[in-house]
Amino acid sequence: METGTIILIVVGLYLLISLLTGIIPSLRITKSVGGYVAGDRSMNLFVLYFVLGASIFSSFAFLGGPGWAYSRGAAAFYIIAYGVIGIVPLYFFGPRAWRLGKKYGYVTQAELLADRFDSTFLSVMLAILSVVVFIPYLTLQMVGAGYVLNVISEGLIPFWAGAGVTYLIVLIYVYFSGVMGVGWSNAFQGLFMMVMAWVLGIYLPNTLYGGIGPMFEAIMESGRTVMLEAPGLAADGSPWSWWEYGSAVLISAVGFSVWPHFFMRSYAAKNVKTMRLSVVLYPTFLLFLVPILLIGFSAVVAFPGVQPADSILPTILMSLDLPAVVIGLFCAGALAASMSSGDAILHSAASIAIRDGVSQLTSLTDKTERLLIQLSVLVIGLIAYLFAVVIDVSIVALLLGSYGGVAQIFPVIYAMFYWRRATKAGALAGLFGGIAVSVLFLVMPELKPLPIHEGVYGLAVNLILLIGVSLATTPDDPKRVEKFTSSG
Amino acid sequence: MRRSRLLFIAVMLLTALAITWPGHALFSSAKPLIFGFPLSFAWIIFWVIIGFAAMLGLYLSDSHDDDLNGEPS
Repeated sequence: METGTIILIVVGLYLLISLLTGIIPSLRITKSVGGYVAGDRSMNLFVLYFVLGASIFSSFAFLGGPGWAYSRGAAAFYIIAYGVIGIVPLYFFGPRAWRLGKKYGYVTQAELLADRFDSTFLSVMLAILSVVVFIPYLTLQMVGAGYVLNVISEGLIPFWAGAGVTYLIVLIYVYFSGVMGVGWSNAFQGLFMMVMAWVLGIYLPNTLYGGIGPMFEAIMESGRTVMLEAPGLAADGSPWSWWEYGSAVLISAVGFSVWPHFFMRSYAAKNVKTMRLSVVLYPTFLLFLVPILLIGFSAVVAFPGVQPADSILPTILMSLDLPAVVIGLFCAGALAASMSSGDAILHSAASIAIRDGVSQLTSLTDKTERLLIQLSVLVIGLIAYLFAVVIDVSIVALLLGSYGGVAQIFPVIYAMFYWRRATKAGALAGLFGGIAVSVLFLVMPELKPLPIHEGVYGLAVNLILLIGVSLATTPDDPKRVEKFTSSG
Repeated sequence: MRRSRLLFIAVMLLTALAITWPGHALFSSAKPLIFGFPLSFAWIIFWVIIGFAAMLGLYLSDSHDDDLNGEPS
């Protein structure tokens, strides 16, 4: 049988299993909005662990991680570093969100904030912000899927067809199954992706250099020791500064636990113990990034000069004389990384757009709301697909900017649970002031006093406004405040 | 606040300093290799393990004190 055919069969089987794992488990879930968005609060530890892990490790990690290690060396360690502190707030926020969700029926992040700060405006604005951030994020996942299939099939599968077929499968199971489809397919995809990453991360250094130690020694002997010294290299190949490295870790860590699609998984947990344990086990998922970086390092000496750096993984796969089945499996692993993030984003974007946006402006029945969320899955999926294949815009720039914006949600979430004196005016001023400053320095980086991430400036302004305006305005209704601060 | 939570927050603040500046700057060199990994890489992996152990410790302490839904038992 021809190599291309074998690869296609392996990928086809992977997609079929993804579809089945996405459809079957949801048959037990009710047809309500709570069932579709929060899985009737019935997610067990196994599924929740993979949902939290796999929804963050995306195409960016699977293709971008090796690309960073290959081109920027130790700078790539930041991808591992921020997760270990970034996950911690969810240990404290998650159980509070879960209890409030169970008692009052919340299923999204903005619902909590809108109720605490008595602001429909806040809910609608967060819905718009989330969708604006999620569409480029989803587009990137589609680009990753289309790209992998195109390179591995040596052009046999056009980019548009690869992205289209992969995301048709995602659309089907997210449309019909909601969060439980996302959960079980992520468990399958996450396991698959971890196995593939470890196999390749150990296999490549051993085959090319005789081991991990000899691989790093070969990099040093080739005169590239500076790559292995923290904080590594900047995008232009010059040494990265601690300001930039430290602020990238800080802003990613702050934003990590409050990404709306990540935060809202708190509601899906079976109980608080499950929620806490899946957060505790999260660092074990971070170790999955170690082999991902080893893949990139393995190519530094063996495959110099590959451009763009993100294509290093498919380039290695096609350069080694690997059996077709193995190439097919790694190809499916890369698709798993793309799909496990893409499905979670798609589901969350649609849920948030309707629940926090449309539902706040007009009264909807549970049945209509669920149907609208499902239709939004199709519409948002199509828009992202159009961005991926038709419209040529700098999506990466848009996405990088969004990290600074998402981090601005952290202070208001913290204040919601822990600071009684926070007021509606303070929360709105802090959130939107922080976003405005973050966007300003993103667009005009030459205005930055220090070379640190624009999100850090946004956070500073956010905190000043949140505290200053809150103290200067009348305290919110103590009864309403108590509902949130006593949820711990 | 429970003593275990205070201790946990202290360890995580230490972790934050260790993985950025000044901690990582002190252990930023490529050599020596630790189990085949450059020192700068092994340092980060070490702190991921410390962070995991700290969270596990906190979880076990909380589980001892709380019921299934995290309420004091």
